[in-house]
Amino acid sequence: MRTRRSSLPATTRMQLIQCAILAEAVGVVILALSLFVSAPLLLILSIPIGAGLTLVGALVWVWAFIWAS
Amino acid sequence: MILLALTIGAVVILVLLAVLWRVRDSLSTPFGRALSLGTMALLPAVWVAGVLLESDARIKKVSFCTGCHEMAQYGESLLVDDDESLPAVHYRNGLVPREKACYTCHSKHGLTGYAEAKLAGLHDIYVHYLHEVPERIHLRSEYPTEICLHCHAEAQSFLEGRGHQYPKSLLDDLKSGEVSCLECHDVAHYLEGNDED
Repeated sequence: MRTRRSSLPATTRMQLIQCAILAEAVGVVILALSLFVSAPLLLILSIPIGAGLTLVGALVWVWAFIWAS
Repeated sequence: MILLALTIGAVVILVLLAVLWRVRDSLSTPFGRALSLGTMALLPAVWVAGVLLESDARIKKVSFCTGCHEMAQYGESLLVDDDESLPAVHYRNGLVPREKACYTCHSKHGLTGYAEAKLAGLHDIYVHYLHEVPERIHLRSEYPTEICLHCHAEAQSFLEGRGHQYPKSLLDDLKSGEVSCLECHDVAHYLEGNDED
């Protein structure tokens, strides 16, 4: 039986997973800080940046961990 | 309480991310797969949704609207002891949810109203930080009657009120938006040194 080969080299895949974990961690920290911010500008900026980083981290992880494995 | 739960959620996710970082070389085991799926996708999805809902609720609060100094006097006008002032009457008598009085009376209802309010808020922040705020703040357009009617349209005081019976077409004109409520109920925010607004 033929097995599907990964479309990504193992090192690249590992680097992507690391980037995804870091992006998600930074996104979670920014979003968590936004809960304690009262200045409108900081609040308006931190929500999309934090949510965006978290989403990007999750998507990169899904791509590198599931589709490319 | 919600803030505490979200903070604990953030700490839990960060701890799990740290564990994931430590075991990142052995993620192909069933435990690694389950850990990474929960930590990278499921848990953050629920947590981010919670943060967005909480932030949305905070942005609708009077304290957020009046956080900018130019809006502070509008916040104070809610407390004016004057039965002619519409915002004060609604706020003091609890006719609108007190925590989000500004949002209730200055945004149309439904999804489009919500989206319009968000865009208007972004514009206000843009003006606040990057432009000179005018001395006298005006509404962007005529006050939409539909906001009043959302609560008042079926109210007995509106349908049977003496002032709403003549001319006979008045009720229909009010409902269609041809006549604005503010043509008669014209005392909005009472600001110091300003009798018109």
